[in-house]
Amino acid sequence: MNRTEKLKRFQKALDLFLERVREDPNLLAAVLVGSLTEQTIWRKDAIGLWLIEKDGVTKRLRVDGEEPRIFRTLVEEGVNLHVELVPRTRFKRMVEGSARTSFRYSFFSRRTLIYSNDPALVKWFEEADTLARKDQERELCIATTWLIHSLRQARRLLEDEKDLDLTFQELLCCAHCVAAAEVIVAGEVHEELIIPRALQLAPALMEELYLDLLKGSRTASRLGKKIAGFEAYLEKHADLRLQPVLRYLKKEKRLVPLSELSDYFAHSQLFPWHLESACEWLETKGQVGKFSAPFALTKLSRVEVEEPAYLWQEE
Amino acid sequence: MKPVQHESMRTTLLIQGARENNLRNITVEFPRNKLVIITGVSGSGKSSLAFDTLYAEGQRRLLASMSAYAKRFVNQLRKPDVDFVQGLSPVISIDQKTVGNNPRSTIGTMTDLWDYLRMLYATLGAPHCPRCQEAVATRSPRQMLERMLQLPPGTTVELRAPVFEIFGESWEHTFEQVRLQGYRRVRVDGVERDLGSHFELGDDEHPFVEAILDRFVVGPGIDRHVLAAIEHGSKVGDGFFSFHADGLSDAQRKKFWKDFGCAEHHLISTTLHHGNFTFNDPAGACRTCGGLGTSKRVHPTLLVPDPSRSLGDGAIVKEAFNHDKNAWGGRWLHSLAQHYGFSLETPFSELPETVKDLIFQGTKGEKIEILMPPGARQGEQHSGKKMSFQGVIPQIERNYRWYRKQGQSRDGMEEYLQKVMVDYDCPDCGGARLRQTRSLVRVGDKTLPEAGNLHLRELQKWLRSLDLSADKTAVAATVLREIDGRVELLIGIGLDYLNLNRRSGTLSGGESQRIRLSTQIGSGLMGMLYVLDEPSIGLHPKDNAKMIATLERLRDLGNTVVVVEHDEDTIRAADWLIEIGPGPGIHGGHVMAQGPPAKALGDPSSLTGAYLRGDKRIEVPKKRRVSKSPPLRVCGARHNNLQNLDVDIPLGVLVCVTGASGSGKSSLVHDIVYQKLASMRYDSRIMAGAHDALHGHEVIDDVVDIDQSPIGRSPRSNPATYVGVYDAIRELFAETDEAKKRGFGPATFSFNVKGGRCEECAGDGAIVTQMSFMPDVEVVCPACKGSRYREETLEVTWQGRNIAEVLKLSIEESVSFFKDQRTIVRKLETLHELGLGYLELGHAATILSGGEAQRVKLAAELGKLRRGRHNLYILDEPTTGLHFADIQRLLDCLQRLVEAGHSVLVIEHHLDVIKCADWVLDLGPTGGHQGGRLMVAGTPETVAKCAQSHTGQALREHLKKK
Repeated sequence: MNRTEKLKRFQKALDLFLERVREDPNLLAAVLVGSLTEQTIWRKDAIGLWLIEKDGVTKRLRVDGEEPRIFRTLVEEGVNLHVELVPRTRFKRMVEGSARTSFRYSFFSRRTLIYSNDPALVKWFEEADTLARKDQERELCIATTWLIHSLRQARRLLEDEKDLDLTFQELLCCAHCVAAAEVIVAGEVHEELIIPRALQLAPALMEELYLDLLKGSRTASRLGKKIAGFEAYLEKHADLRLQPVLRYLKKEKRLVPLSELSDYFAHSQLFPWHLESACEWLETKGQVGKFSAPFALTKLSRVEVEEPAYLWQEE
Repeated sequence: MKPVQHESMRTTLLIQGARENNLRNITVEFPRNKLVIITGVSGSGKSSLAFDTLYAEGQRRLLASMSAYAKRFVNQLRKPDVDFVQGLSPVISIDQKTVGNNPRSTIGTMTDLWDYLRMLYATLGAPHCPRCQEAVATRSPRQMLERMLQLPPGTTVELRAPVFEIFGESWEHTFEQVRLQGYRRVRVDGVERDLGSHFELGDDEHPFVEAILDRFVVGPGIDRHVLAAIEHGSKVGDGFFSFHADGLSDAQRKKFWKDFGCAEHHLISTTLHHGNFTFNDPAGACRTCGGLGTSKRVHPTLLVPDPSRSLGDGAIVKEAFNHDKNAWGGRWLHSLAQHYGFSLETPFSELPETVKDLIFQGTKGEKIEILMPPGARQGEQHSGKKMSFQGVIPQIERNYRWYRKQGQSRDGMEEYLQKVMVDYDCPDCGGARLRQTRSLVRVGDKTLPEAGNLHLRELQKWLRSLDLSADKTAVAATVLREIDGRVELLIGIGLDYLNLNRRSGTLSGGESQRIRLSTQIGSGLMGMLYVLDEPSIGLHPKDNAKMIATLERLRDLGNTVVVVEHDEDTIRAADWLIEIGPGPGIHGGHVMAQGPPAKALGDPSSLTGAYLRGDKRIEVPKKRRVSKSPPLRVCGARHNNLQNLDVDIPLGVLVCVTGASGSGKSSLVHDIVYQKLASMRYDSRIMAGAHDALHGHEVIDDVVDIDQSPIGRSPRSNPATYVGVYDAIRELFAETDEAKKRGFGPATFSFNVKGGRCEECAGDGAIVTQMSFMPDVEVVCPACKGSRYREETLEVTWQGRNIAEVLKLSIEESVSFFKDQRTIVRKLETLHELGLGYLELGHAATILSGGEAQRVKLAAELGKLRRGRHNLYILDEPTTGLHFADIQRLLDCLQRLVEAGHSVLVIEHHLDVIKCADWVLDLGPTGGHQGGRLMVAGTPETVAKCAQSHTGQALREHLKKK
């Protein structure tokens, strides 16, 4: 079956399914997760959908256990539909609090409201579609810390282990981090395949950091140059992209232990290892000072170990 | 066929063959539904009869009637050593245990009155608009929905909730909380903002903020959405909402808002629930203190418990600031000392104030170079870096706030915070415990915390004066009736000076017992058996009649009331009297007299009768001592209800502080005099109550508080260990040739440590086996046969007795056994002289009565007396649990202390003690806000002449009678 036929088959299945949905007053809206296009249909086995149901009508099966999210696999015209059923209030809370929950990952993927009988939901959906600046900053910060982490690893693999293949592998990870960052900077939500989108958004940059990496031979000097290229990219953007961490340290103007910093960013998907990477990099650039602070490992510990603590350097 | 014979209903309660503790197989029978008093000298077996036999058997039988399944969830009780008890009813014991120290327990929660008041506020309360303080309507979510559905179909309505500032937190934190609840958009002074984006609000800005909870398009099928949105959104605005509809005409708008929320701000409250007013639920509790009503802050004097130590020697509490050279504290101390030029070897008290301030409050932004202390092994990487020092106090307070937010309250951190921080009223709720929005709800003109602050009599007056509309009266009538009835009972029992917000932990044992008594009367049960332990404790003679009337009321409801009591008036009011005696311990355990008081007291074998008839009496001293040294002067005492008192307390004499319950006696004596002296002498962490100054304390060497609390909570503690003779006895055994040959040291003769004790029972002498739903079974240890020691240890003897046999000796016997050992015998003689000769040396501390424990403490003090020392002994109601004969002994003991050159300060209601004092300070005139003044000071004769003094009146009668 060629792509066009497959797309037609999927589209027909979706239309027929939506006809049934429209007849059920308990279902308020349907959201297509991902997209149905000739470009994406080749990799699809099923259609992903969110169905927004009325509050208080949830039907739970034993298999759902305590899990708040309810997934069902349905079929229409032989095409499987992977459906997540979401009560209206929960859906709204997921959308509004999106950047603060694990739901972020699915929400930031591409999705389209394909049916709604609740006008208020339509407005919400439009509003939620805009990526808020603060959330965007945090996303960028996460992508940047991953880049820092991968770059450090790549340099170690090249200089200490002299393992060119693994260095290359790690540099591919760096390229993914850069691609993710570029998509976010453009104010877009990213799909699973971010490299093609980044190639469209920042062709010159991706040519240099990604395509050129793929093309050439894996020699130490060449990979060393590539690492330098990523480092230059990081150097150029890190100040801005690590803003959430820097802003907090600036505001506190005191020694902030890592545990306290992590606590501040709790629920934001910025985990201690992201923050550690960010602070360590900022320290090498002289923007923060690295110290230590006492830390008790158990509730009852009287013996203290030390954890990293960071201080914003004013000058 | 023979007709079924019904036994007629039993009118008496029979206890046959009671042998618990020291009871001598006694049989007691008394009428049911009467007020029965059990009296006798301390340790004679009164409590063994009332609590360990009667109450224990009643409880056991009740539990035994449960199913095996239910029994798994309750601790089973051992059967008391008694042949049988007939005529038992369900039994309730009201003892004197204070209500623990749970800071969440108040008089309101203890009496259930708070629950009723909450109910009252939930049904009658009128919420007020948080912006203009105008009363707003309450509507249920469904009523709100119905109002919305009256709008034209297709109208878009936005549901919002006000966002209240969180005390001490930035707007950023407040918005984080809103976002965490799943709301991304807010309106700040009418301008819509996205919480996903940056916008700054300064801490000094106080805009009106609303969270946008949801939007609806009016039409069919939105019911569930609206109800769910209201339910989920009620947490954001503490139940306040506002609705905003687009595209309405003025007329439609007017109609929509008519009787629907505040006219100006359109805020409406959802129906109130009693759960909104509990401080034990996050929904009602103050967000800063979590419902405790207090917050903590560091007190600098607590940080430095011993100012004579230097910073380098660890003057600051180690958990707060570790001075070790490898820790940050040590690094900072060294760096600060080098930078600011002070010595770490100077005693803290001698450091200049600027240095102290530097340590406590930090360098205030100034950066200094970090230097490594000499000999430091860690921290080299920090050397030479520059940073500012935050100060010990800000650091601890930040940690405290962080821990509070985390909700971790049971770790080591909390323990040390307790050490260095003091409680003060929560700055957010002002001690009201409830979140501020709950104070927007009023009944009449009062908020719930204001109602809780009223004294019970005022509370009753206010509730009776409430002017309610007819429909509300109907709703609230039941609640009001319940409250009124319970308050009336508490007032009737002499507790009118209390208020519902007062912490239970601050109540005396007598007060808490009387509160529980009133709760029982309030229950209105009949056919019960109540067992009470000295309900008259802590009661001023003027309130005694009320207490007796309450007991009679309980009886008249159709209950049997058994009271262990020494108070003369209560004994005379009894329907039936049982006296246990004649002496304490092994000399007691017999029934000396029983019957109606007139008959029992006439019994020649009744010691109580002898005192009440006047055959025996506590004599008034022939001469009052006069203080020869300057008095202890308390200036400007303002703690609790004390009215800026200036009081002189004569030294070197026996001083008695008297006054009605709640008049401020303990506040003056314990909270100010004792705490101040103790803080100056022993522990600077002790915080004295509010006063201006305490003069004349220089002549006092030590201050000793002798209360009736147990001398130990472990059965391993006993009189011998407490007065310190046990160590000397073990030394004696270790000095024997046999012990030396076997290599036994003094520790071998201890049952507390491994070595000489029996390891089968770990020195307990008994083994407890848990039997699931059967009672725990305690059996004598099969290895040591109850001796607590190993065979080898017992083979060592001193003067023919082994260590286990010595512990079995009574104090009386041991005085002659150790007659050549002066240090041991001196201490034992003191115990004997105080009437404790009947106790065994190894008598477990847990089974000592309060009076016995107090006398053991006194004996320990008397044993420690040294020439030339001047101690101040403080005793709070030492006659608790004491018979007239015991009181005589106690007085002898107190007089001995005074004769030895010490000062004794006693809080007491017992007229026999007051009349024997050299000086009396009477506080009053009554309790609570009507107390706290000095009514009269002088000899008992002077006080008896004072017409305004209630104590004076009672004393006058008492002196006349005798």
